[in-house]
Parts: sequence; structure tokens; C-alpha cells
Amino acid sequence: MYQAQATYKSDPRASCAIVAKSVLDELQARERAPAAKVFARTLLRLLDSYRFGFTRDEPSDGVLQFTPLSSSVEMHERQDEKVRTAIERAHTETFPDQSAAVVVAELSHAVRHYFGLSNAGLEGAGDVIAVETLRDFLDRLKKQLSPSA
Amino acid sequence: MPTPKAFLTDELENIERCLKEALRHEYGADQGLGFFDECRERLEALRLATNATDPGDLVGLNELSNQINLLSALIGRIERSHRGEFSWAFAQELQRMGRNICQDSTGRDSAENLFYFGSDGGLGAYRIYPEQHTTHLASARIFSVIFPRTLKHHVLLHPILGHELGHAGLAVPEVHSRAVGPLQVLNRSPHLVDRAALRVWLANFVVQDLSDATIDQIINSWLIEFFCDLFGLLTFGPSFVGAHSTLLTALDPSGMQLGNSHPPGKCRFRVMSVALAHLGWTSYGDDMLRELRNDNEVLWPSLLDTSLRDPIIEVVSDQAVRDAVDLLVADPTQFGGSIYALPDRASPLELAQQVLRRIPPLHAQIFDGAAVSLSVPDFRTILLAGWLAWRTTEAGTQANPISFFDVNRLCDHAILQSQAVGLQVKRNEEAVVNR
Repeated sequence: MYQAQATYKSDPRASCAIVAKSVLDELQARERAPAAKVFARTLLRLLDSYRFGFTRDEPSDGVLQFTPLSSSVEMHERQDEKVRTAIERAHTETFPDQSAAVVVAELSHAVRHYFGLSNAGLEGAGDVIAVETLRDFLDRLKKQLSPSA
Repeated sequence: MPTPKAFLTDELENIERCLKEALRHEYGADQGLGFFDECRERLEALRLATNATDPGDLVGLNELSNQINLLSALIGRIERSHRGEFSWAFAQELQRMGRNICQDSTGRDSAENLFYFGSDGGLGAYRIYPEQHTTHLASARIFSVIFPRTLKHHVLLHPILGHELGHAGLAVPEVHSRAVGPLQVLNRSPHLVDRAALRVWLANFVVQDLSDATIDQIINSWLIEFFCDLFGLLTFGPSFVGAHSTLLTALDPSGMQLGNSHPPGKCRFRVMSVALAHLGWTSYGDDMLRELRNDNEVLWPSLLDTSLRDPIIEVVSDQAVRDAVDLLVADPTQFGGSIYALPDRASPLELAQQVLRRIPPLHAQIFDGAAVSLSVPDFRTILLAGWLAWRTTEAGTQANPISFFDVNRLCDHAILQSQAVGLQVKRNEEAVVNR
């Protein structure tokens, strides 16, 4: 049967670590690769998830897919919760006195600025934070996501 | 033997070859380039990340392998999508709605959401798959919309995808944040407020002892399903009820199947009934049908089933449904302006009469045998007209009744024609501006 949805899974924690590392690499590179925008946009989505307290990143069954009542619930570690915790720690270490909404707005503004993405809609966002601050945040995020953390 | 990193590097080359070949397949010129660009960007990003990963970083390589497989599977799916297997006129309207609903602030830089369409076997195929995780390396989100292959022209049943648009929206954090209020209101229903309450309710139907984790999953999933039903109703209008009751009843005639992910059909029908009445849509539809049929029939008889009035069916309280609807319609712009506004009764009535005359339902007038006046109805009004026509012809009192299939074909054609008319109207307006 034609399979509409791939069965391959991704690990949000490992994936987020790759995003943080890749954005850091690109910030340090002399010239940004065209594909660097992919890392930047993925990071923007991650920051959005954090800002909106969104952790339920799981597909649902189709509207007409009936699965009979059973007690067999798949128990698995919530990796997306770990991503959220990692961002939260990096936030409080880098910007100890600022709210999540302000931090996400500043980081998003900076990511857009340093990666040449449009800042439409963020005209009133003020000055862009220094690239070192963005690097600090990403460094801390990367450490939080390392397997040993 | 190649190392894991060397193998992944080689697989990226293979994906590039597949990507180039995929564009040779029929997918539609307007969409092909968007997918090609998105997949190529993802491929390049994976290449960069793979090159920068230490060969000894097994966790990183494992995740890159996951992401490479996901990209490979995505290209495979797009390659196997054929426009001849679903109503692409309907797909185009759904894509427009989906883009509006799922738009968030990360889309400000032109990285728009992409909607891929395909078909699959079985009635249960109806689905919109958002990409699994926010952490996928991607510029744009890709949503995979699946139609049942056998229902290619059955546009009157496709409004069920309004429910799936709800799920698609919930996968976008910013959109999800707008759904929190209605979800909390639904959660306050006495039977869904906590584990103990649901256990008491479930004891009416099942004897098995369910774990706390299962109960939590049921509460969470059912709330989302009820929310998505309301979302489908509000975005597609009354035709959602026709699709919802027809398909759910076809798959579960008893309406009492319990599932971890889905509440029983009867509970969902009661929610529809309460929401329709609260919106004032019950009398709107019934009045029009009575005018067409000249009898006392109602538009959605299944919602009059007396068993729906049994208090046991009220797993979501009627008041919670009314409160959730109020929150959802309070700001018509909050879901990309996709909430359906009922048209003046004259419009669906005129369109329904055209269907009954076997004419694709569009507003068209010819003056003096030459000048043609055309206006484009909302495709959801065409669908409502289709249901009105079907419920009229279904009575069997007409000399030459139309089959359900033909009513669907006429509406499918009308949606296609309305898109063509819309394009021409736009061109005419642009010509006037440029003159």
C-alpha cells in the first residue's frame, strides 16, 4: 500500500543540537552558505515553540482512523520536553532577567538580521543584539543538548 | 566498507539524483518548483551539517541519517503524487485555506507553507500530515494532504478535511496558542475535567481497567478531536456536517465505537448539533431545504436522532461547546480569516437550483445574447448548494433524480470553473488599472 507518511522518526533533541551547532558554524564562517537559511529558519521555529510553550509535537490519527480502546499507550521519553528545558536554561543563563517573549523577539530579530532574512513585521523590535550574545546563547543551548548534559 | 559518514554523504548524492528525476513526473507546474527549491535547500543544509559532523559523533550521525531518510521519503511521496487521482480544483482551494490558517511569523520572509497532495486507498485515507517535528531542518513546512483514491470527484465529502486543517493548525505553535482557550473550555466539561470523571463516564461502556497514562491520552486526544470538529464546521460551513455525518456513519454505523484517539461518533454528532444551533445555522439550512423540497424535511436528519439527546452522549457539555464556538468566532481574523460567513440565502438557493437542472452551480447571467456577467461564489457555498440539491433530489419526488456522484461532479466542475472565472475577473481588473 502507498504509504503517505514516512515511518522514519527524528530525535528532536539531537536535531536541535545539529541546528544550534550549524547556526554557530555559519555565524563564524567568513561567507554564509545559501543553505544556512534552512538552519536559521529552523531555529526561528524552535524559538517560536518555546515562546508559545508548545511541546506536543506529535502527529494525530486521521479523522476517520478508528483505533479501538486499549490500555497499550506507547510510553516514551519526551524528547521535545528536553528541547524546551534546554532552551529555557540557555535563556536564563544568557538573559537572566528577561521574559521568554522578550528573549525570543530579540533572538529572532538577530537571527533574521545576521542571516539576511526579512524582518517585516519586526520594525519596532529595536537594536539587534550583538553577534557574541547570539553565539553565547547558542553555545549554552548546544551544551544543554549534548548527550552528557 | 564505507563508514557511516561516508555512506550518508553518498546517500545525499543519491537523493540529489532522485530530486532531479522527480521533477520529470506530473505534479503541476505551479507547485513543482516550490517543492524542488525546498527539497534542494534541505539537501544542501544536510550536506553542510554532515560535512561538519565528526565521524565519531554517532548521535549526530544517527540524527542526520534520520533526517536524510525523511527527505528521501518526502521526495518519494511527491514523486508518486498524480493530479489525476484527486480533485485538484478542491485541492487548490484547500491549499489556499491551509496556507492562511497555518501562517505564522516565521513565514514573513517568504518561506511559505507548502501543501503536497496525494491519494490513498480506503475511506479512512482522509488526512493532513504536518511534518513530524519543529526541529526538522526545513525552510518551509510541508503538509501532506491525502484524499481517498475512490472519492476523486466527491467534493461534497471533502469538507471533512476541515477537521484535518484543525490538526494542521495545531502543529504550528503560534496557531496552537490561539486554540488554547477553546481547548480549555472544552476541558471544563464535567466528564472530561479529570481522570476520575472520565473513568466514571467510561464505566458506562467498558469494563476494562485503563491505566492513568491511557486516560490522559484519551482526554487529550478527544479534546483535540472535538476542537477539530468545531474547526471544520466553522471553516467549511454547513457542508462539513454533511461530510462528517456521512463518513462517520459509514465507518461506524452504531456511532458508539470508543477509541483512544477518537470519541464515539454520536458524541461528535451531538457537538455538531449544539454548535449548529448556537450559530443559528440549523434554521438557515432547514428553511432553504423546505423551500426547495416543499415539505417539512430538515437538512441534517441524522442530528435529530433521539439517542443524541441521551445525557450519556453529552461527554462534552453543551455549554462548553457553545463557549468554545464563541471563542473561535470572536475574532474572525485569528485563523487566517478562514472562518466561513454564511451568504445571503438567495445565493445557495440559486446555486442548488442550478445543480437540480444539471448545471455546474455558478452565478452567471447572459445579457442580450452576448455580454456575460459572472461572479465567483465561495467554493464552500458551492458545496452547501450541492448538499441542498442532493437532499432535494434524494426525496425521489423529482422526475429525473440526480445521483450523488453526479451532484458531486457538477460541484467539482463548478469549483474548477469558478477558479477560471476568478482568474479572468482578476485579469480584467488588472487591465483596467494598467489602462
